[in-house]
Amino acid sequence: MSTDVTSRGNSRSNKPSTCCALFYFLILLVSTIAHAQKTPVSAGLEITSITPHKLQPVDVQVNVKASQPLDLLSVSSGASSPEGKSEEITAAKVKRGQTLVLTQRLLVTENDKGYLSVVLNDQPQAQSVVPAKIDVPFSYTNAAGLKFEKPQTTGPKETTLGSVSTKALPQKVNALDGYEVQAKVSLGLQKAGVRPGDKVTQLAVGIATGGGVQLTLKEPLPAIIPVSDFEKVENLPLRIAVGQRGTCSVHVVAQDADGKPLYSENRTIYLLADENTVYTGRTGYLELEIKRLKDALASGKISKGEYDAELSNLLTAKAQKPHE
Amino acid sequence: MAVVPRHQNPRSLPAATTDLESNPVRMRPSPMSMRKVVFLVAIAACSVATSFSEVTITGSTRWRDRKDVQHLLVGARVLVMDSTSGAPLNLEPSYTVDDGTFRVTINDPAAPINVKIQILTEGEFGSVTFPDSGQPYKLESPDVFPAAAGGAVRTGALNLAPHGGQQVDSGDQSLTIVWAFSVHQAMVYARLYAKSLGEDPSPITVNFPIDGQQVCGAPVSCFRKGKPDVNILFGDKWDWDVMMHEYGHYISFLGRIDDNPGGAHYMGAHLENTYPDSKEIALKLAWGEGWPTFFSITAQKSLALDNLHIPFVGDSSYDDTEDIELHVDLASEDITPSVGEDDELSVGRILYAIANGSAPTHGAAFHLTDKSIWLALKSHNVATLWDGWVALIEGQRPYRLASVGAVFADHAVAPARLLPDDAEVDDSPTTFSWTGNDSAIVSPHPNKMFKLTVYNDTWDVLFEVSGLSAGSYSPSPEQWAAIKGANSKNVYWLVSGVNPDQPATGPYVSYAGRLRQKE
Repeated sequence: MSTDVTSRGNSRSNKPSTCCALFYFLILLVSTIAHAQKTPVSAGLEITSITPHKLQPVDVQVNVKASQPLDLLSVSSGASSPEGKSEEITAAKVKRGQTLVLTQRLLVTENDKGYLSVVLNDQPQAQSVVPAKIDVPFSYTNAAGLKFEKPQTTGPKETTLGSVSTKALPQKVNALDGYEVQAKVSLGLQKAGVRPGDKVTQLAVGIATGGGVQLTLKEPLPAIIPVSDFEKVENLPLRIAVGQRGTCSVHVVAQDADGKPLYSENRTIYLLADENTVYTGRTGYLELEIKRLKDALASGKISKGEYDAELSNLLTAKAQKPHE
Repeated sequence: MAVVPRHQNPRSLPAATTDLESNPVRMRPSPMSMRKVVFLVAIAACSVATSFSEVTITGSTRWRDRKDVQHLLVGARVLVMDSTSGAPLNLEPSYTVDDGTFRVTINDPAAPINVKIQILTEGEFGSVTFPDSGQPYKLESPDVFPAAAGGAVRTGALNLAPHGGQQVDSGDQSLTIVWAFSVHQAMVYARLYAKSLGEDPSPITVNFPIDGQQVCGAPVSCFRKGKPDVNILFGDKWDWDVMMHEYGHYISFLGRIDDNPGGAHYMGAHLENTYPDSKEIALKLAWGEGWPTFFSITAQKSLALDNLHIPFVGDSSYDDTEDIELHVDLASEDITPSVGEDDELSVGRILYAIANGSAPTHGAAFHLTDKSIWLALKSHNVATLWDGWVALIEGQRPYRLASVGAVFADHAVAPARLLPDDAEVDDSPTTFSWTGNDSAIVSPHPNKMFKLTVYNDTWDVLFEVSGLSAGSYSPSPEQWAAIKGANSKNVYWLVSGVNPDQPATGPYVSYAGRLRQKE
């Protein structure tokens, strides 16, 4: 239909026709998609920019001293966890005063200032729980090195779980090629979708990184967003070194005034950095590997036959050996 | 030679096993043992009977659920490949059967060859493919097997490797392949159920994992009519309720029992609030989403998939996990109440109650089999719950109509809260009262035009009053005299309600209020 209109009209008269065609196309597109159920919470997470950057890795040690006996305690942070570094540490039957030690890698730049978030979770399996968070301010210069300041609690619940101390480890590592990646998280609530009787008054928000991805904010993010601030957008500065991959995820729980969880949503973005770019996607590393493979085909690095064979390889898993 | 999947009966499947319990080669004893013995004897007999120019390849395979528990993989295509050339040797499709085993016969291999086996996420339902790749996922035998004419190859168990309960992609992309087999298995059962309704849906592409925002316009799984295809979100990989709901869209599309406009929707909420400018969109969306949920939950119940002991599979609750947390029971009004004809949850629960003959709050149960419901809906070009009402009540007498109305009243669609009910007939006229819809929150388009009909106990009309706009009516002395004078131990009364806002819906009939004559 749009082709006929375009061929008969001049450029000026084409505009509304094109608009109409586009409008009808969009209507058609929307009208042919039947969605799965949603909750009234919306949590968007997208990448807005990717910039190459030299990154100085500094290994850091995060110590968490339990303030009370706990059945389970897991500790993670916004620092990166390249291969060989733990993403989180979890201990069971934790005694009061017991210290959990997590070693990770902070990717910093000259005159860097920010906050390293340390996440303490005593219910790591509970999807409707946003864990406690302690933000540790830091600064870095080549001359003075990495300095941490006094931690600040910003989690949804006062951290009665434990206290945090951090220190930079002395070994020197050469600067790495990497990227600064800007992600945007947008949060909202569709009031029309709220169940009768539910009174959503706040959103509890947890943001976590995994693998080689780092999140260090210029200001700590509020962990609780009051009802008046729904439709909130925050920028998340991420860093990743070449050769690394990792995730950034947002976990949002809509709560009533007492903190009772009513709805929750999770969003994750996967990142894979190579020397040319950072591949990003929402469905896992397989998607990123296939994107990279397509780029290799498009740039002539591999032939169509090699592409087909490698794609088939990527989509094939070996069965478990009988003795495994 | 093709081995096609038989109709599975999970009631007879062996219990799921953990790694520790399972033996990849020998299956553990189970209620199926005798059947297995018969099956193996049959295989042996067949093997003996095969020509010396054939090679028979047998084995079994299992997939893993979110808890890393193994289950028999059913209805998955089996390819036997020449391990040197990579060429498939069996071009006729062969599939794993009920007990997760497969048997493939290769005719006339030119010379002794080495073969490897691939189990594909491909079945009679279609195939689960990585988006835009056109390729299914594959599970490949770790070893090659020598095969010669007249011989038999026993591969043993080709099972998916453990994922350790990991729910996120931790860097090992083969995890996505492991998860794809969960999607595959859900689709196999969804199609089996569709077949039990008398349908024979064409194979369809199931894209997994998809970027919901790009493919569906929102971070959700979806069905696209235009392709058609089913698209499953990474975070829905374990959610059979969601996956079978999406396949249900395909079946309703094929059966022309919806006119789903698409768009955002929420359970237990008035979609007329989400789409305030169009009652029609809200009603079509509520129906278009409610029926697939009914399909999904009923399919699992009908196939007794609870016997597979897969978390959240085979119960009456619609469960969405990982990407969102949503748990809504179709069998009862749990924390999420039904709110009316523009609520997909009301739609799903009404159909579920009828298919299960569930006792309503008032009056007798109304039961139609799931297949009868399907056939009734199919014959009426249904697009809304009101259309569904028309299809389901066709040919029903008033007392049966009251039973249907009782179900619709329970889910805030038909008039309710009838008074007096189960009361003696007073000497003086008693005012009849009701509510248009028994909803926790007021519908933007409630029933507001009513008709009151009073019956004797053989369901002959004593009198009726139409054109009522209020939720009450005081009968005249003459009408009350007709009630008192009815030669009838009981007198029943129904209210039918219409919402005249365009497109008008109703009359939905209430359950029957009862008045007892004084002894």
